[in-house]
Amino acid sequence: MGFEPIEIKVAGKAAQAHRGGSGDALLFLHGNDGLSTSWPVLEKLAESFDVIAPVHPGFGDELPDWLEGVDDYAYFYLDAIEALGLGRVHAVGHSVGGWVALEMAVRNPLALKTLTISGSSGIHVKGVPKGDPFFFSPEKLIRHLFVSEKLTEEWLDQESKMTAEEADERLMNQRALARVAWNPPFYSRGLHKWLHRINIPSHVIWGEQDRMWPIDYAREFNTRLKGSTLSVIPDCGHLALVEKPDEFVGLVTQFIRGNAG
Amino acid sequence: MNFYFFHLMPYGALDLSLVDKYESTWTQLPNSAYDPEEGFKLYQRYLGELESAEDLGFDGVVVNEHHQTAYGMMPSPVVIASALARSTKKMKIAIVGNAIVLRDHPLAVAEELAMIDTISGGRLICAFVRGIGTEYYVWQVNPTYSHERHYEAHDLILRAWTEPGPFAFEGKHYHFPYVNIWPRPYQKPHPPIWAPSNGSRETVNWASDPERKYTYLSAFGSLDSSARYFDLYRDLSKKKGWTPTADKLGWAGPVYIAKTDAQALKEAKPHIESFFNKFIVKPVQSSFPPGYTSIESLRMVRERHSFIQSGGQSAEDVIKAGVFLCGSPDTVRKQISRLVNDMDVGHIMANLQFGTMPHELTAKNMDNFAKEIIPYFKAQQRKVESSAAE
Repeated sequence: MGFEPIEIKVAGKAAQAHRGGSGDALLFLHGNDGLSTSWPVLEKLAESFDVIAPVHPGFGDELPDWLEGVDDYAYFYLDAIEALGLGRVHAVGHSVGGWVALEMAVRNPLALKTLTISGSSGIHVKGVPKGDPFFFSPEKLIRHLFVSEKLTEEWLDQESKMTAEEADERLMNQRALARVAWNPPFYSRGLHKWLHRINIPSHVIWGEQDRMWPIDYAREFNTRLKGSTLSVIPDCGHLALVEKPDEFVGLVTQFIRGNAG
Repeated sequence: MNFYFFHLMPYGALDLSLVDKYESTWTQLPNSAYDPEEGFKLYQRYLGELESAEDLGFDGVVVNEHHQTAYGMMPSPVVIASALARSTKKMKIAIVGNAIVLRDHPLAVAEELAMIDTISGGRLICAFVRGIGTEYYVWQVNPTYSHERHYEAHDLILRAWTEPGPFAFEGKHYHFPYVNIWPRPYQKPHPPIWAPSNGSRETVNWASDPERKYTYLSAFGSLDSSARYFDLYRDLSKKKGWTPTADKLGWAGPVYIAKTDAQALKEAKPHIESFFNKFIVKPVQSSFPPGYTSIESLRMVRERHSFIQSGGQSAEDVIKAGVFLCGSPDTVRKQISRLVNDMDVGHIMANLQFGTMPHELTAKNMDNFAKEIIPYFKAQQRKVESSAAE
């Protein structure tokens, strides 16, 4: 399924995006490490949906001067949905992308048909130790991502062969992530108070052995998002879209179909 | 030509065997390794060493700020400078510097420094720094705002010192409707401001602006890299239409002097190695959090980082690299002569206690520096001045 690069422009702000497939519009919001690790999942989703996958402004790029927090991403993408004339979309967000989707949904739930978050940040659960994508060394981070030892070894191997361009891209991704998620660390102070506003079908997908954002977060989201569905993927860490892409796509597709009305 | 004694106040009583169990003595080494009784003894000792610099003939003492680390027991240099403001009478007290970016209320720094400047009768030298990477994790200050917060906090402090209040400061990060500090600084128009750095082009450019003309301080870099930064400072200044004098350049780094090169190496070796291999070691991502500096600088600095902060250095390595000035009086004179005569540097800040170095060696090192280095260069300078006068 082919994807085409598009540019989203709203109110003097811009994002690069990829669009592919056909069906209901699905806005895919990538996680902490940029869009690249999401491709296997995106291609499968495009078999059933019109997938729009933006690169969050600042990732792999200079920091836009308007970017100060995740709320800026949320307003930008709410505008983008209108600018692209998508109507109501299915939002799917992983990790920081889940946080962005939640911020969009509390602001304007009716811009979305359904909401799916996986391994999402955005709220804080006291006393549950999280992984630290900034403080961890690259090796320690990789060792926290997967259950699969094979994947861990593959990623460590790729890490050792990283090119200068890839290293630069990571520095830029980390910079954009730090801009929106440094303090408070990976959450918005008020978001948890308003999650009840999300009165659309919502879906929480979590790797059972997520060591970055432990499963306690999934339960907290499941409690606070009224009527939400919780899908726990066994033998899976934080990056469900890499570790269990088929299950991930199956769960997303099934949920959206079940709530298509 | 000014000579200063620079103290980092390390927790020298540290059980070094503990260090290797953790990634770093910064942020990660548990503070259960700190014993308050030892802390008491070390503060008495270190303050005594700083105070003794006055009678030995140093022009000043230097202190600085670091957080949550055995590397230095000085999270607040203001506390140490305050104690020295009363216990010393003549010499300068330099804070290089206050990490103003870490503060949500830099006005407090403006007030504290104005107090020290007044209590000391105008002996305060200031520097404002961004703090090192680890401190952004400790204080949770967003590193992607590091530069802009630094400039803004600096502007706020400078205006609070010099502009009649009350006035409103309306910044992006700091917004204070009423700025009107009491006391104001003793020195006019304000205490000298220095800019310490490890060669960040952005900092050198900012410091050399004709509006500021801040003394650029190369801190703990090699002699070769310091020479490059001084050249950069001079070049940028010239492009902006002014020529820096020696007073605008400073160097800070570890120095050890004994009778012979061999003796100096032998005495300093365990202590300088504890400094470079235990106290200063930090993993790269903790030294350089995302956005702390530009991608270009990050790339450069990460390459260099492997040398300075990754450990595994012998005393011989750091001497050879020109990072540690060590040897007989004659050897050290030659190295300092490179700074003073070749690079035209006007301020030498000698870190004469480092790592685990005990008091006896520190006192001996200070004494040697005071007798063998300071008078030599002061005499040289008098000679130059009198021949210039003729």
